[in-house]
Amino acid sequence: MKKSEEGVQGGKHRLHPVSLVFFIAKTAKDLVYPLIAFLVSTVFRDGVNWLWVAGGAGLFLLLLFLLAWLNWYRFVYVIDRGSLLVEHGIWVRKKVWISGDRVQSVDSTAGLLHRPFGLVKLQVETAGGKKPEAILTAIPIAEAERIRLALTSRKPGVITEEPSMDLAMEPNSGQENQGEQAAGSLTVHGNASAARVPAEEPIKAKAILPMKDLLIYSSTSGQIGIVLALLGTGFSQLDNILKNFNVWEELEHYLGATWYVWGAIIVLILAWLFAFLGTVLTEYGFTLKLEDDKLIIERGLLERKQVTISLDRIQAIHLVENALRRPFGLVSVRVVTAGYSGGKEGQTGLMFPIVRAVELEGFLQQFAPKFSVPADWTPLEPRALRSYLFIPVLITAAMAILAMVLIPYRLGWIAWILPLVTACWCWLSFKQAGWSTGDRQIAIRYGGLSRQRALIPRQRIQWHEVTQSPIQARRELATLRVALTSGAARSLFSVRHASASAAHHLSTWISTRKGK
Amino acid sequence: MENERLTRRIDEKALRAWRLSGWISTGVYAVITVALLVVTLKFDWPIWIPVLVFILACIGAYLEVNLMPRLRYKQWRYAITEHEIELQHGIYFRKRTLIPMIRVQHVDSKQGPILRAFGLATVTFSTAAGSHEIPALTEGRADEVRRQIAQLARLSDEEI
Repeated sequence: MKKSEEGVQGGKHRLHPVSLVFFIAKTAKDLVYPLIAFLVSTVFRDGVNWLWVAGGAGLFLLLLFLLAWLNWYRFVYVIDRGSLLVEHGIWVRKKVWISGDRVQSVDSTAGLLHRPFGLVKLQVETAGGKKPEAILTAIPIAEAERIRLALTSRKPGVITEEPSMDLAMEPNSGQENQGEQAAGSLTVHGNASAARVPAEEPIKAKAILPMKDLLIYSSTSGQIGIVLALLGTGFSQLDNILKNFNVWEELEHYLGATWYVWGAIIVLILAWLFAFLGTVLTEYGFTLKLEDDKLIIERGLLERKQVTISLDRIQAIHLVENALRRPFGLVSVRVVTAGYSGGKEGQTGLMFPIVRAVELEGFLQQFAPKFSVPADWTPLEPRALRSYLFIPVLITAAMAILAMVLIPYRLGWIAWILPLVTACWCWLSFKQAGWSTGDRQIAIRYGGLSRQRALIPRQRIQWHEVTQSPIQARRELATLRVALTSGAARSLFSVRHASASAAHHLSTWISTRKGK
Repeated sequence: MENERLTRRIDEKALRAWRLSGWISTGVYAVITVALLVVTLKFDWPIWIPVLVFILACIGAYLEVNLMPRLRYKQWRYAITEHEIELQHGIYFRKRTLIPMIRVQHVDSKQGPILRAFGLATVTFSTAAGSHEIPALTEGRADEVRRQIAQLARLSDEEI
């Protein structure tokens, strides 16, 4: 560490040497094409000259290491007055300035390679762009903590004090890092953050997911669908190979004629198990802390992730009760922010996996006091039910009629289950849909078997829209849609088929700004 | 859905611009139909293929040259006030969108070759949750709108 700091002046820092591994991996990816060209031109030829090959391979490795090292050497970052400057690139020098005011979230991840050295990967995200704006692949935990504090403390007083605070910390940062490496990482983490966190940043509230809840959450997560899809693609690849062997006949031999039923059951159980284990690994030890005005989320068993979100960066709170958890009154609390998302497009970030419905109000009071769960919801008017039913039932009924015509032996009648189920689901959606306006917050409720509620502060709405189709116009209904910012993707919440007058009333309510 | 505040319409020349682009598509459809007819006659394909394509091309041409531009022009309304931008449009689904001025991050105006020929421009407003546009304004009006929004957005500057 000391060595790497040499020759870097002006508070510039380099990454920990372990990050060389990541640079090598990245460079190797970039060098794949020259490598292939080299292989094609030497190995796949008559009379292979092994001397050439060995020399080439050696040269390649040397080049790889040299480029990676240069990349590492030229990658420097500076923390200055609450903003982060990252400089990198060998030929093209890139400089990225990230002002603390614009930071949406700071995430740190401790992977398997990081943990023995007490390092983390730090990602800083702003509202723009899909990718994180700055990725520091490996830095000591204490250093990550320092950056996090510098970027996320937004008290006016703190910001002006920042430079002096930085200077004061600079000298010990090196020493502490060394001490940390010697002492082993995780125990020091507590000390380090205790030393870093000034007295003005007490932990106001803390919640840790109990083991029992983790197991409940993991076993009822909807991840099984994703696993099945993955298995499906994997299987189609496997099938090409298996074609050469009589696997299916063998299977039939062992399991009898109903092998496919057993097979399906086994696949489902395996998929569920994978989903279960995957969720346990990622959500293990889920901890939510409120520190000053920031939420800090930590989770993961093998790969420990930490996300920091300022309370005033939360665009909305999204309460999800999926079909399996809803009967037991278990709610997942999720947040809509511009930086932290569930990974997939349009998904909200997990704030806490399981909160009991009765404790929900208290939970929000503690961690996000600006949000409250409304008690009174305005349901839709009964005439909206027709709009919910009409099109889905029409389509599924058409499909059922088609099935009746096409499927022999009158088995087509079974297809009528489809419109029936659809009708039930539509009816549930109709029952779920509703809204509630509070002092400064609009809440939207929707869902079918699951129940989802979005608590949206009025001033977070980027734009909103009232849509009316001719059918809706005849029934005096309209759909209200509100858009929030959430990374590169927008997130939309809508009240479908509300009465037209109510939709317009809501629209005016949203546009009225108090104190203006 | 009628709203007395929504007074502004897009420029009348837009109708001609859209019709022109409709005629260009019609030209493309015509070329495809003729080519298909030639190939059909040469290789003895069933005659209903070019006939079907011809009918589709006629419907497409009618929609793009006549019906759509007319409806689109008729439905488009907008208003820009001190606090918000209000747009109303949509042929089947009528949409009324409200964008608070403080949410506008930047304003662009752009022109394709057809719009340029008519001296028109499209103005786009970007927010942190996607963008919206007014499809055809005269260049002067587009500049005016852009300046107006830039000024108003600066007045009510606030964090994301």
